[in-house]
Amino acid sequence: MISNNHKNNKSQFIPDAARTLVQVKDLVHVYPTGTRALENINVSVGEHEKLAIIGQNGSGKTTLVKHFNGLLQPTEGTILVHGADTRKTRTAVLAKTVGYVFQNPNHQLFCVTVAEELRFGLRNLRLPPDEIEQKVKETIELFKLQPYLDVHPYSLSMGARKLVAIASIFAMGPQLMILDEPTTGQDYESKKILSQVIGMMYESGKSIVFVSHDMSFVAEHADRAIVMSRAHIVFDGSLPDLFIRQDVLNEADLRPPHITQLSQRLSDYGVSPRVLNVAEMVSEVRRCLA
Amino acid sequence: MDSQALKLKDVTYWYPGTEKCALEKINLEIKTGEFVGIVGANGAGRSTLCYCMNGLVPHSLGGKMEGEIIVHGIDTAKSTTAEIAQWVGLVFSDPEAQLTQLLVADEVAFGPANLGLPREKIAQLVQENLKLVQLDGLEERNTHSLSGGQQQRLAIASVLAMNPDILILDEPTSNLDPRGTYEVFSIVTKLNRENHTTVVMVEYQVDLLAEFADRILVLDHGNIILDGPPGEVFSQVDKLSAVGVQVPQVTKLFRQLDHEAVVHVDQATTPVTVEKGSTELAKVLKKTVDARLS
Amino acid sequence: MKTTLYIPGNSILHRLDPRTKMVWMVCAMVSVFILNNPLVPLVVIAVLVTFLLVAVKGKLFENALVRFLPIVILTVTITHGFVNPVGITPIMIGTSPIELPYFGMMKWEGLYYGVLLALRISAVFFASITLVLTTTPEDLVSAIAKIGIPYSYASMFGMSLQMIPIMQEEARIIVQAQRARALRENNLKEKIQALVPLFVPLAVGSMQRTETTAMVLEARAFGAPVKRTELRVIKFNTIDYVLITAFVLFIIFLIVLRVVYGDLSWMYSVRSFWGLFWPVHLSR
Repeated sequence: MISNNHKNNKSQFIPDAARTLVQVKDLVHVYPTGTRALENINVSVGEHEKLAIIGQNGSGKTTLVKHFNGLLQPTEGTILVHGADTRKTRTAVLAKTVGYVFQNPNHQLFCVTVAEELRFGLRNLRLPPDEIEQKVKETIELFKLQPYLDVHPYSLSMGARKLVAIASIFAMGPQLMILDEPTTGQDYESKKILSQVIGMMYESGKSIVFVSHDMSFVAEHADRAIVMSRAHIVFDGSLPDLFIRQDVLNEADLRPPHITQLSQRLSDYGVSPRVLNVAEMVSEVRRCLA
Repeated sequence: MDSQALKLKDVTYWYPGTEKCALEKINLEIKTGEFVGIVGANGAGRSTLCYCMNGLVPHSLGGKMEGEIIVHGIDTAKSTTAEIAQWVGLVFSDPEAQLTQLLVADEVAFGPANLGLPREKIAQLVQENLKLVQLDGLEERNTHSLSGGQQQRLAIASVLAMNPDILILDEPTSNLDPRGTYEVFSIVTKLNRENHTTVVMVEYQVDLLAEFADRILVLDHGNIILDGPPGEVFSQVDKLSAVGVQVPQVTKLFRQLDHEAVVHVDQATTPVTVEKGSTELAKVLKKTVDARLS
Repeated sequence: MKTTLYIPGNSILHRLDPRTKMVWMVCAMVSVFILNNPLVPLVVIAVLVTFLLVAVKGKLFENALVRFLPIVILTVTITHGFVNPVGITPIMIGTSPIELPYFGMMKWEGLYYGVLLALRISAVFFASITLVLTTTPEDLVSAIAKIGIPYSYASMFGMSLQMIPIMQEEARIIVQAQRARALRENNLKEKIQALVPLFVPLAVGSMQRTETTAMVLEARAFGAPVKRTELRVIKFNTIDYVLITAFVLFIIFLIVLRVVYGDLSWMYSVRSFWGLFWPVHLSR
């Protein structure tokens, strides 16, 4: 884990600059309509983190992450990506460091083959052709895309399409992968593959930020959660800490995964209320019965 | 009317231009007032089954159908989608694609107006159904300005305004946030419990389905492979995993505990909800605590 | 996000039957072409703008189309001033003509023609936006259905309005999704190339949505073989009859003028700026 302070919910803690990927300082974002989408946001994303950003639609979470690669510019405050101010750096340049996978792969895919889709971003980065082919090859292997290479992306299943969308961003070699609602429209099998891919990307040293509603998926994969509600960050800390904070859950209208709810109901019998998945619950029950 | 809401007899269906059938010899009876959950992997035929129930198959989607679908005592092949719409309401997953009108009240009025109901009756239906989905007061709002959850409730009100006995929802929450999801589930549950509307719902979120549905159908490659009460169906963990269906966390826990011989649970009575699960586990844990005390 | 051009209000224009405004629109279009005289469109514009200002006040000038109008007027006027072959008399400032390389000299006759055309365009434009600015899209659909166009076509108009904000939002997301893939848009060539990754997802997305919408319509008994209930009662009031009569009388008056006095053009005698709008030489 990184040196980030998880005990401090307000996240005023400023981590070691060298290990910080994205640093957000006093960010305010006001939409042209006058809606104040973000208020006084201070947060940082370190290297090699698995961070979930949760909250209802309209709470500001997508608006926040769109500042990480300059898709949106702050009304007030600054965002530094590896020390570079996003106001002064174009999204095309930031894309080398921050990869952003949109919720709906159909918004992203347009090429006639999966291989072309992987090349698109690399070409935009003006890499030499042999380097492009090398990276495409690596990505294909890591994402196990061999069977789909010459297939039209639109003829793939929703799950495979998502995978291609993630791979096409991953190929560009960013250090931070932002996944917006990765589980939407994905069935169980696709979710399992998605889990493996997230694991693989984390193992390869990436930081992963996912914006998600899927609490059991978040509980399974994130080490740190940021909860947003009405343009503010209302919580920044570990997931077990979040799930016992009834005030935060009420404010953001969230419910812990069923397995966590179950563990909480049984806390009178010595079961830890900090269970995040079925495997943990099994060992908790074992421990209590021993 | 008898207590049978819907019946499919040996239904096989091929989409136009395909050789492999999307549904294969489906036999299914749904009783009035039931809450049926449909689960299955992508491409298992869940949406197609929904389209069969409201006449889109075969009337609008074309293709080839064998077998018989009886809704409201009438063979759908001999009826029209417009007629069936009065007995079966279908809600889709994309809230925005279901908006046909600019104003909320007009959206609800659209179906009844198409049926040629008198204007006063329509006004009354609009009032009633918006109230039912708790959107009353928003009549003059632009349909776009609503949140996803509100749009989905509007879609429900719009089909309910045609007075169907059966409400079918095809992944109604897949584009919604948790708040929107709870809004939809609470409205649907209320309709089912208080108005005895028959509900058929395709849904990924098995944890929620397990809590609210009376009966679960598992589809795999166009076949119904499991059919029964949630506890009975979801407890078959291996079979479900094999066909790519998620199992509620609580059920998974109990099957695991049983498998590891920590707690014995009968297959058929495996808890599927937090409520039931905590009661069961509390019993076991209490025994240990009591034993330790004495 | 704003879906339509409609500006809410409760003025005379808002209360008129949409069909009256349609008649106005047609009358305005016809009237400005009866004579070749700039005073007719000026009168029509004056009447329409007065009504519009009462109805929507300063919001009229917030409309993007209204803001764009001066550019259209200038372009049309200047282009015709230079290139319309009717031009024979060069416009002199002091002793030198207004001259552009390749286009040659600006001529009074061409300028007159350009002004006339620009005023006609403006009159037709204000007549059209009177309808859309002060009529709710729902009433517009009802009115279109009421004048005899089948409801399925009329409602298609409403449904396409429905699509606009959804498509706008979708396009915005797609642009961002491709920018996140370092999409290059630095020069014209790159900007044109960038249209492919933007257009393909937009097109595919709207096709998929349309498929769903088609099923939604079926499931709501759209096109059922019964007479559809009209939800909105639109009917003519006294004021509607008065205003329609006024416009029709105006047209009859213009036709009489045309028959008796010809097209009332003074194209060939214009020699000054004000002479473009008023026959200065004749009144002297």
